[in-house]
Amino acid sequence: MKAFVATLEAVFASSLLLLLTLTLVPLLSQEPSAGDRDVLQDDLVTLQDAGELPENSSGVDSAFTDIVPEGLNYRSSVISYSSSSYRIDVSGGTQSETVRQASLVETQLFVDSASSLSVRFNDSEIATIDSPGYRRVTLPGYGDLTFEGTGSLDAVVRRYTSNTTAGQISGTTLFASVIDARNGTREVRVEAWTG
Amino acid sequence: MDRLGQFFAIGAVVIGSIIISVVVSLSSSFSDPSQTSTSSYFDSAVGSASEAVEDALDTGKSPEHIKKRLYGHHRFVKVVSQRRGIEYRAKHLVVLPGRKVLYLNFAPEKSTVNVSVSGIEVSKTVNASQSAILALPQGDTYTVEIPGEDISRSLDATQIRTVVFTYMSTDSELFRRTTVN
Repeated sequence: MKAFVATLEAVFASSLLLLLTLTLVPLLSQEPSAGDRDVLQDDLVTLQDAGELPENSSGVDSAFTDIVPEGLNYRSSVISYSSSSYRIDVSGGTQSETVRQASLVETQLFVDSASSLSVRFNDSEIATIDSPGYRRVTLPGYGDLTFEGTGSLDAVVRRYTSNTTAGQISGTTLFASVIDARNGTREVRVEAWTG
Repeated sequence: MDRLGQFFAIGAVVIGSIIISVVVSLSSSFSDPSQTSTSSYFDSAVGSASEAVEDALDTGKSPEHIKKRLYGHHRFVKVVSQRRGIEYRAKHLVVLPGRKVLYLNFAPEKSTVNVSVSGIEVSKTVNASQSAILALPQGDTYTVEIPGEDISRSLDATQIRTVVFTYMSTDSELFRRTTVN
């Protein structure tokens, strides 16, 4: 019985030691904190309020060189979109527009009138429109957008693009971001992590 | 006596382990830096909605022009939100020159908007993701109501004004705010 209790003691002691090691070691290593995130967020907002948000990620990187807390690696990204607008007026015929490739392409349709208007992409039908209003259709990459039938609408093709600086993220990451709607809408984002 | 001492020792070890586990887990939950800053992102999205109207007005004042710009804006915010696992929807009302009001329901459900001016109420139900332009009688003050969101605001009808309801939700957080500019 005495030996059993001694063994039990040893098991508990070992478990306690293991628990302490597993929990305290990560706490001792340097981690990005909520305070670090607030610093980055405040600086992004300040740049935005001043109308000085850089246009691309390398510009954001330059602006944050002296701002990012010591010991943190960081990278930035700017997500934006570009648009092309087409006026579509078809009456029993077809009208075709060529769409450039991008990571995500979609068309927003502002339909004035339509009657069995077929929307085709590279000869495959992707939508049929019978009523006025707003429609959004995702386009699968590069190709020809064709409207066939009867209808009157504006087609706005949007390409979403992301500009990201190099940086290998490892460990705990924090990020700050702002949405800027001056001269189009874009998101400027800064991610930070320990090396 | 020897056995009693051993039980005390084991008890101390067990209780100590529990206390340390609780303290460590509590301290880590208070300083979780990987927590997404959805709150800051939401604030930014709310502010950007009125910026989008100003941006549209810089290049044209027609309702159609403003409508397309706002659709582009809200769709962009939705795309970025989806990439971060955030659900986004918005209801955007703009008082335009010529006694017109643009109402954009960027949400997956129907929405009714009521605008009262000079004792006359104009009401419109707008389908999911659709918009409408309301023509209003003469008056200096509009009272805007969006019953589905419990929104009621009075606006100066003599200048361009906006009312934006913004909603974001994640698995653990929900944000909703109405702003008037």
